[in-house]
Amino acid sequence: MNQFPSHPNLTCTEVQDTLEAYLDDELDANTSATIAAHVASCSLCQEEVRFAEAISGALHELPKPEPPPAIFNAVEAYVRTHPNKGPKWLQWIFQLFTFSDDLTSMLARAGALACLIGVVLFGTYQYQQHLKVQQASRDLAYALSKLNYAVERTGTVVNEKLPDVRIDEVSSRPFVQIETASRHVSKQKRNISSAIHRSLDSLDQLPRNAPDTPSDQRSY
Amino acid sequence: MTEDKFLELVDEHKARVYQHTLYLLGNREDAEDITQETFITAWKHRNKLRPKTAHSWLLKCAQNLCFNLLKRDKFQVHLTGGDDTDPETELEALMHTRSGRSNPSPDEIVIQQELKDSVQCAIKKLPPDMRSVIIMRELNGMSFKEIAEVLEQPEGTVKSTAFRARKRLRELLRPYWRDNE
Repeated sequence: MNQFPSHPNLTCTEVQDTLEAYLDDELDANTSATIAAHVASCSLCQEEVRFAEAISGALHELPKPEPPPAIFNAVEAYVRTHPNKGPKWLQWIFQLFTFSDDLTSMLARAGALACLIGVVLFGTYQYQQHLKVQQASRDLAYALSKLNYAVERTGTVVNEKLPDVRIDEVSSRPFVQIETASRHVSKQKRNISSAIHRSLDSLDQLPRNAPDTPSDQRSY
Repeated sequence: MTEDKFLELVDEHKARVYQHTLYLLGNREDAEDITQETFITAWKHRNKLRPKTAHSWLLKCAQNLCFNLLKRDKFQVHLTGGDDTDPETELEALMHTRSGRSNPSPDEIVIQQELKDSVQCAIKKLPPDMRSVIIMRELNGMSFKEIAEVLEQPEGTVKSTAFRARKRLRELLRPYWRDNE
């Protein structure tokens, strides 16, 4: 066993143990350089490198026999007698998502996928809209019931406070009743206002020397 | 996968699968059977096949079938009183047993003549796992990464196996080398 002078720890055995990795360039640069230096100065290891390279060459030149056609024929016969099951369109869809590597098939796959995503998104959007309409219908029904209740209460109060206003009961036309009641209230307001104006006019027409206030009377 | 697409795939990969099984088993008849069985198994599992990984999948399948066959034959050799002292000797005996089972065809004679080459003899003496790595690396020209995918092993393990296999070949072929020298 030779010892390489500049690398006392590197023996021929160690070099020859790592010869395959060295020849395949699979070692780090330092180790590779160390082994190269050792091989350059060691005739035994040079012989071993030639031997390993000869084996590599022989391995690369191994014959590559072609398989007999009978194999392909037998496989084809089996495949033809055991075809895919199911309708053609289902096979086509399945194939689209499982087996294709050329550009056209990839584009078709991408297009089909985009269509599928589009259909799913559109369906989801439509369903959300449907839910929103349902919710709005429920909110409207609730608001109408509250409005009916409010109108009913308003009608009761108006009937109590203003008997002239004829709001007896809340029918299926609450808005008309509210409008009618509003008109009655406005008319009453106008009547009261005109009565006040007439009273003020009458006061203006009284004689100046007449006693104005009860306090004047008390001064007598 | 349609029938036509699958048959295109078979046509593309049949040579490499056949060569792999032939060198792994060392017998033409068995290699043909295993190659055929590999593609029939692939058709049965066509839903799992992808064009990009078909090569790895097929080699993995072929390799499993080969190993099963070797184990079965090894067991039969053991039952019939074969040499069970050294696994390598046993494997070599198995190769000879299997090779002599049928009448050799002209192609087989050529292959057997080639197998007389010392390197091929040495390959046959390697353990199946080392032989498989050497075939994939040297014969099929696969990268360590591709071999690691087929064997489902870390790349470092595959490299180590390949280097040990070639070192073992050196040890086996050293007498031939010295004689030639």
